[in-house]
Amino acid sequence: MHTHTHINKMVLKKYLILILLFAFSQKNYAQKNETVLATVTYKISQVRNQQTLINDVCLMDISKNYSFFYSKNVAENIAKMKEAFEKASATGVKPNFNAADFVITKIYRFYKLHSFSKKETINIQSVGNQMLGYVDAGYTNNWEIKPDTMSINGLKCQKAILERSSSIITGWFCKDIPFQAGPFSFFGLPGLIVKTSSSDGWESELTGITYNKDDKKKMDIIDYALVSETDFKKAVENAKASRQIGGASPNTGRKQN
Amino acid sequence: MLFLYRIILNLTVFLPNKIIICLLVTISFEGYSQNVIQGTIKDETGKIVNNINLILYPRTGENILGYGGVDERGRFTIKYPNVATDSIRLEIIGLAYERKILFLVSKSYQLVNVQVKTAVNTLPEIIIKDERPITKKSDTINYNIKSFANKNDRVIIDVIKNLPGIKVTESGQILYQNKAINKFYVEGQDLLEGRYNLTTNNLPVNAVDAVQILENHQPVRMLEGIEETDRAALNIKLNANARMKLIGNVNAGLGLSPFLRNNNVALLKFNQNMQYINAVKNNNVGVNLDKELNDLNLNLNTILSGGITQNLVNIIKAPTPPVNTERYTFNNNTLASSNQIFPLSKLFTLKYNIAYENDKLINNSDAITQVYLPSDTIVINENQTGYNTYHKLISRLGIEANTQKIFFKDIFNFQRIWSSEYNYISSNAVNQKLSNPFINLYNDFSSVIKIKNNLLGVNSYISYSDLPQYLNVTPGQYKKLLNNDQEYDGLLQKIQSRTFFLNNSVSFGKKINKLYVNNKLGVLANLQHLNNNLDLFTGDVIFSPTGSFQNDIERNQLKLYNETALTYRMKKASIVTILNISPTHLSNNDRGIKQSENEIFFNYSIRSKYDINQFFTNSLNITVQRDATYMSNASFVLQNYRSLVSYEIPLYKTWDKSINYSLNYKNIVTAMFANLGISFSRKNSNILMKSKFDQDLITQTAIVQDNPSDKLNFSGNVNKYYLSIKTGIDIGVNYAFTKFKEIQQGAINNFLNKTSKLTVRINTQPNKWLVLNHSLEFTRYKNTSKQNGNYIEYDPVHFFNQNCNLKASLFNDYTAKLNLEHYYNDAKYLKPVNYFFADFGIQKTLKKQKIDLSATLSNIFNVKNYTSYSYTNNYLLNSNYTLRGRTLLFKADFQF
Repeated sequence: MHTHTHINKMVLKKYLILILLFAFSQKNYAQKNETVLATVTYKISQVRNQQTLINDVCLMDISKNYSFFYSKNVAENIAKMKEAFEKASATGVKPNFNAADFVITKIYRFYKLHSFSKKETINIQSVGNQMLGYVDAGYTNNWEIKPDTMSINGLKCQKAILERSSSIITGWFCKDIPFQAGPFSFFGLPGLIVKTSSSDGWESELTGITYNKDDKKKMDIIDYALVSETDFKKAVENAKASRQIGGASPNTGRKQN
Repeated sequence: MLFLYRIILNLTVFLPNKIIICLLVTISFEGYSQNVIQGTIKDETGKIVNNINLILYPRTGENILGYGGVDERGRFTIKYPNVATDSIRLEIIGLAYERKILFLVSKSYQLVNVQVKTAVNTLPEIIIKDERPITKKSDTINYNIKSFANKNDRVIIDVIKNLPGIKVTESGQILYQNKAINKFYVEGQDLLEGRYNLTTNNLPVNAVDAVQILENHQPVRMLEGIEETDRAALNIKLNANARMKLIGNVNAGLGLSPFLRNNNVALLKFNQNMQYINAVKNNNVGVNLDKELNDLNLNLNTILSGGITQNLVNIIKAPTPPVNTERYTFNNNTLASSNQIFPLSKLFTLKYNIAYENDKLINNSDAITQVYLPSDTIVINENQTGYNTYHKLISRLGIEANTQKIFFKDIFNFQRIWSSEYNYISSNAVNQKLSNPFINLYNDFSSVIKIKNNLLGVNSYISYSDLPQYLNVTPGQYKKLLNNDQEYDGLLQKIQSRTFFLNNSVSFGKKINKLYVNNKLGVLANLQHLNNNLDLFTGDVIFSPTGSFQNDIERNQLKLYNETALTYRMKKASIVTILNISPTHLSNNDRGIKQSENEIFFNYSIRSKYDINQFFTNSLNITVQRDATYMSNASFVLQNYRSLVSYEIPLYKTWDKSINYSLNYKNIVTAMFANLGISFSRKNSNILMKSKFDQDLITQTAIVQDNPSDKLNFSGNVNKYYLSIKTGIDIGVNYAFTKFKEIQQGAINNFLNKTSKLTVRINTQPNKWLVLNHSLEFTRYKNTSKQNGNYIEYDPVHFFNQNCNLKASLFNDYTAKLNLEHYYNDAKYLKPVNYFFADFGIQKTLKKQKIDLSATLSNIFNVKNYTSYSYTNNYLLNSNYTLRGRTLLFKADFQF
């Protein structure tokens, strides 16, 4: 129980540092000014060796030029922390973080920012105590559209197959929704990707879509530093090494999925 | 090659069309196996459009030949293989654009510039349903209705009562963790204040997305995080569809025998700018519509000011049986209610609530009351037939601004009740006629203003209430006392109480680090005028009784008070201390006989709360309160046909001390809630009640004597919901102990009453076609009295009630409903009684039309009487109520 509490505290501490990071990091990316046209909700999971590693709800905000895919729970955790800090500053009482209020297990810890015009996806991830992003150069987009159709959550969908070096992905897209976007790093089908399942255990399914009617909601893309894939990998190695020698990384004590 | 096409396309801006075509034709002669369509898409104003999906098909057929989107300059390129067909179909779908279909000739290359027309977005929308049944964000617990509702639930209260952590009482009051909610909102708006039964009984389940519990809810937004509350509010989150349209609930029911009807129309609308609920209802099947007008969250000032109707004189009735009220209520009840809230400006909202209700009630009951006295046992037999006519008008107008920067609220309320009752007791041939109307109006104003970092509050509550009542009894009673032992025809007791009440205060609040200090300075005035007169009559001759039976009393209370509240908040704990100092002037003037006293009261309370961890919270409250009031009425008042009451007493003083502790457990992940509470209170007063029985006539007086009374209450509750099997279990225990004394026939009688209660409730939906609700309640009453040093143990009385409700979905949208009830009651030496009731209904749902057609056979065993035993102190009541026999009701329910 004690260890569990300790871990929870560590995780909470991690979020605390993250928030401070977000607050002070530079906002260099213009994507934030774009209006969100639609928000799609996906239920996602990753099952490997009959073990559920990820079981989360993700959101994808779509603007004119971008789609941004992220975990709803992670976003809510951050919002809760922000709210607690705001409340604390208003009341003068230290924030009381309750581990039960945060969903911290089996969540999807990555962010995917896709540019429609560049047809590229930036993978964003917390490394050490900073948010780093790199362009996913290894992505292929050779979907093979199949004639099979299926209704998913009331949407008429058509099947497509994508073969990648490490896995085969089955996707279902809806031609009636004119966004060539999808969950994770998937895009490039003639309509929104509604459902995917991959041979390596990742699954996603659209559970909701809403359209922004009042033009007020703006893209809320997490601040990150864009680096090359090589530098990103180096940073990951450094963070691992830092953890092994008991460094002050907020990820200490928790295995990353 | 594509590179070349792109260059040409870019040149389209500068070069004449003929040159472009020549270039393209030249290139296309090279014989590539892929065809290409390029072009731009603009809207009717020439503006470049985005988020466009272009899909190319054969002219007929759904095989996708190629597809593409547009870039930031509105350009597109679609490549597709050479196909046998000459004709192709290009479909263009865009967000907020009309879908466009172009039929083209298949060529190796073609340039197509398209214009699309803007339109309202008609793309398919799926509203997000968070699949987690319970989620928590900050102080808000979100119950996903989809996870808890079953397909037979029609209105939202059907679901709320099964949510873990929440309970709904018989009156419709909603409790969270055993405490009444302080606000009921729909989409954050408080349309009905405390009369939320109107919403919970009429809002269709399919309009609701989620029920939210807002823990520690401070209704005044300016005081959020500053002033502590330990109560929660409930908010209904509607789905997008319901927010856009008119919602309705229409029920039409006809049945027999006798002729029965149950008809309701409720129209509801909840959108961003305006909310309303309008309803018209009528029934004679025993449904009490007055419940929908009950204020379930009464203001303390309303209670203090006498703003709740009371009977100064009354008709004795048998206690209502513990069975479903519809079984014994013979009514003809009509309700019309209109409620609306809308914005006046960006800050202010205006709301009105107006309701009219009338009811005609018939009751038939027999009661045997046995009063166990040391020397005697008095037996009173009363076989009654009663008829009650009741009209109620309630109106309320409120204006409110409630933001982080301003709080302003003013409510004006007017209530008028007309009520008259006729009652005949055949066993002793007594006729009673009662008129007990009630008039009340009040204005409740409160405001908070921020001056720098300080909060200035102004509160004003002013009310007036009037109870002009009378009781007419024939033949004359108490002939020895009232008419020198001479027979006479009857008595007429007139009594009127008029009360003006005022409670005005100004408060000043300041926050100093973790400490919040709020000081309230106020004045409270309670001015009451009570006059009553008892007349006797024989034929048309009205005459006065022997002695004085007239009061004309002015009771005044004027209180100045200073209340200092200190709130200290720490990370996991908070403590609130309140000290109230109130110099008070009290006076009583009965026809020139004046009494007056000045008192200073020091009252205090301490409320502390500590969060042990994320699951457990406990709280401890201590209250010490002194109060005094004049309640003397020196001359007797005929309260009912067999009770004459007088209190010739000095100032009635009370000293109350109470302590209560509660421990709450909450785990939303496992959907388990539990609470444990223990409270003890000691009340001391200087007045003791004295009863004298003369056969069935009782004379009550009060004397000055030390009168302590104790009350101990213990309660525990565990509520768990098993999400995987859609099953909720609720177990509750309660033990109450009260100790007090009363003088009966000149001897002090010390009473000790103990009540133990166990309740178990299970609701389950083991599969899609079956829903089962089962509840059982066991109660044991044990009373003891001590007279002249001798203990008298009264026989314990047991109640055991069970209710099983089964709904099974059958083929073709038919549903069978079975309701079984079992009631057991005993009083040791008397023969135990068992009652069984069964109701069966069959329902056909017309899904498209959203109509339920049903036929219900109620009280299948045709049980027409209910007998029960109960104790009140040393009174054993054996009552027998007439019930509604077997009935058949056909209903059509329509929701939209």
